[in-house]
Amino acid sequence: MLFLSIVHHYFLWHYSRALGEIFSTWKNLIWFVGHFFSLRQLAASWFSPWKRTIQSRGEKWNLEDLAGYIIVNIVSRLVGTVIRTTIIFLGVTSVLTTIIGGLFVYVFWILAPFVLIALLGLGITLLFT
Amino acid sequence: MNTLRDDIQQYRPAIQLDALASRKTLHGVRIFLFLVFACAGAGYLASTYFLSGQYSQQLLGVGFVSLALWLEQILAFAYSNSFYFRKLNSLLGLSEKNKTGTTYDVAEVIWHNQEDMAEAFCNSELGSLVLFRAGTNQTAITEYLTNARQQLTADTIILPEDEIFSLIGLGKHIFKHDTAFANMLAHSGVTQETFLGALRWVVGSVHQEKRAARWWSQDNLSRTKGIGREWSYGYAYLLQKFARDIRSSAVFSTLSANTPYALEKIAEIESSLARVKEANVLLIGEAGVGKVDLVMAVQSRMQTGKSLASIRGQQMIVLDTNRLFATHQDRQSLELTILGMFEEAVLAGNIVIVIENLSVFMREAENMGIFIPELIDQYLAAPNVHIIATDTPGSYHTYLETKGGFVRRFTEVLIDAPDLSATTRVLQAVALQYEVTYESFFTYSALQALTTAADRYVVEGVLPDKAIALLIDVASAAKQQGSTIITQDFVYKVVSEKTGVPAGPISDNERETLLHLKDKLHQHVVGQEVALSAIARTMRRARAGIQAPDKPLGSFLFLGPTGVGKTETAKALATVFFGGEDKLERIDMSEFSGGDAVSKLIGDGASAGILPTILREHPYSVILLDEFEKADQSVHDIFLQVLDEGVFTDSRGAKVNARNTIIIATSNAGSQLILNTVSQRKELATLSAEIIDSIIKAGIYRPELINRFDSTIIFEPLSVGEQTEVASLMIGALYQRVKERGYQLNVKEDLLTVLVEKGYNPEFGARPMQRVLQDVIEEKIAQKIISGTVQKGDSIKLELADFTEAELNV
Repeated sequence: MLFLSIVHHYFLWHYSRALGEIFSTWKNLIWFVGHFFSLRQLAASWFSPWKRTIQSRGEKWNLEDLAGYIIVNIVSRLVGTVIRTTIIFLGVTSVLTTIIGGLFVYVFWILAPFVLIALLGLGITLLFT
Repeated sequence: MNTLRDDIQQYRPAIQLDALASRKTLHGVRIFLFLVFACAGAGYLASTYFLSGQYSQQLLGVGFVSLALWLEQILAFAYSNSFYFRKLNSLLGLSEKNKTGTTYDVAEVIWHNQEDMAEAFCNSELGSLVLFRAGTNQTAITEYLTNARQQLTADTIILPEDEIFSLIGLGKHIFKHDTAFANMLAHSGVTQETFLGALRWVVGSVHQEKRAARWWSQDNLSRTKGIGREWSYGYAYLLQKFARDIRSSAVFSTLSANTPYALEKIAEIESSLARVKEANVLLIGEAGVGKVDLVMAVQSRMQTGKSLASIRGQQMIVLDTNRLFATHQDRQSLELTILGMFEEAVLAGNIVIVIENLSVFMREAENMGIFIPELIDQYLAAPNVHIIATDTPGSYHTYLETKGGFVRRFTEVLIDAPDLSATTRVLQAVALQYEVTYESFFTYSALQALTTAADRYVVEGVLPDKAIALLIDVASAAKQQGSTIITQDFVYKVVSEKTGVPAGPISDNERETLLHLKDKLHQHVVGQEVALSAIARTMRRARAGIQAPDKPLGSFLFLGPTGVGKTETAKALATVFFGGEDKLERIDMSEFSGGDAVSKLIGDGASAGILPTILREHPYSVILLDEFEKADQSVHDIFLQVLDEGVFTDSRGAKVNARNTIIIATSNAGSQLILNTVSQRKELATLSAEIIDSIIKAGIYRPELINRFDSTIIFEPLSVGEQTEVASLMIGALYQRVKERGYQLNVKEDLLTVLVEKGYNPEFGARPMQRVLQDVIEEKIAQKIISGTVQKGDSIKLELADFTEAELNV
């Protein structure tokens, strides 16, 4: 009787409150992936020089200094942009994966009791045939 | 109106599930099923590829069944978690939603006995732990539960509408409404404060465990540092070369960063760092107060994006000043390195340089000829570099303040030592760690005792640092002595052994000493009934804890003519309270009468001063201030503070603690009046006010100084009878000395009577008696030994007939 009571309440929970709790965890994980890949910070500094590696322009006008300044600046920004783009790409992919993964979790969750019964039935059938 | 009984119904399924199989059991089952599934899967693959499919079907069947059961366990786990962590966010202040109702813990405790919540509480796992932490014994609990008493039912509690009702609320309710429960605690010596403290400790640690277990919460996920945040800032190679791990200076865990005081200080530091210019912070606090812990908390907030927006992503680098000085031999290279580091920091754009003990760093640089304020001044005003420096109040006042403009580049943040209750909260977390290491169990009253004893009896250091050090000492002593439960009494026992000061509850031996203190003192001092009674009364008050704890153990002003036993009384107090005459530290105050009196007493920056040195070397002793009236007025002023607060500041700005001493000032002031009073056969006790008044009028002591002493004791001149007793004591000491030389001494009564007559002098007390004994008896003994008329082992008998009139009148 106790067992049946628990099972009954479980199913009520499984298809009501649990869906909200999964959503809350899903939201946390999406936030975490964005936080982990620093998407906001990297997007804000996407084209900045890599680790501020730039050459000074020099106090007086000098072609060599100017050329050095332009080249180092461009290379540094290129390196920074490439690395940041890679991480932003990975980050966005991970966020999308988490979003899609969450949808799969929802589908799986809804089907879970049936999957459980199916696995159990299949297993017992295999064991005794 | 929502009653507790109604509200806990929501937890019924989870509690029923827990009754079938606990969370711990389910965890074990889950792991087992997964292993079975993994083995079955591996077995199936092995069978398919290596055994031509023999048993593969059965193995697959086992795999599917175990997978199904494992999945069932996962679902059950999620189901259980849903109840187990319910309301936790609101309880921890992480969410403003749903701030009503009760927690799973409360439901778990009272579910099986809703008609008698006190019994349910006492028999539950958490409730028992609370009671044991509070220091209640099992017999008292059993007796309480078996006796007839009023029963509190779950219907009687109406849940508040704006607050979560946790186990703390339940414990408070039972304590308040069940008189028998409160009486049971009182009979076990548990006060309301101790019970509530233990309750908060146990429940608080359960909440923290739950918080840590819930890895999927945003609170836990946000602790991870994001990648690539520093890429838009520059490198700081040179600074990194001279950097060290900030954790090496931390005092206690960052748990303390959750206290309101710490949060306020963190906010103060962050807002100072967020300034556009001169965003530098100087943390001023005693060593061990937790300055670096606050810096660590700020660092963690900056890295996890919880700090103010303008300082997020900043990187803290703690300068290893020892390495910096060790690797630079000359001024020029050191200057270049320091400039290079700051230049790098400016270019990097996100560096916060942490310099511990700023004044030490500056002084060491000064020794190499570098004036730091001048060298780094331009960087202190720069917007791209921040400095967090730490220093002690003493060094700040004596050194940094003299640097004027340099200090104004910093925002000063004062870090006070936490108060006693905050220290006890810090100890709660530390105790849990050391309980594992030393296999011991701390009661809450032991933590309270640790805090009180560290504050009162440990002279060096500040709270919470010295309380933590004491906790470790006590845990280690408990392990050595095989004591697993650390109680308040055990803490005080260890403190008493360590310091020599009687601390904590009064033991039987000590009770005997205190109750018969006057008699004990009389073993050393003759006469002075009134004086010794007054001293005994004051010391009993001090030991009973009635006196204020922020004063010396006792302080007395002894007035009276010379040779009446003032110094002997001080020695007797040292023997009775601290275990020996060697615990008496005498300062001749006549040496402190010149213009340099204060600097001689408390130091002048170059030398430490006599008083701080004595108090640091002998913090648990009797301090005898001989001939106190001869000291300069400025010296009296210093003692105003010492007697009032038990601490004073030396010339280097460091606090010196005198709270574990008995301070005795002796003085001959008013002697003549005392002698006149006695010679007129007036009762001295009734005239003591008159004597003190005359001393004040004569300008010897100011009234505020006399009032600072616990007691002003007037010593009477000795009567003839008392002088005879003194002579007997002196002769007794002489017997001992002669015996040590290998002879027996026997002085007849007739000789002693004559000597007392000759030595008696009310004005000079026992001193003339001492001289008579030396000149007459000791001289005679010396003659006998030198002339060879007595041999080792012989008895030297002295009577009046052995002496000529001339010999008696020397």
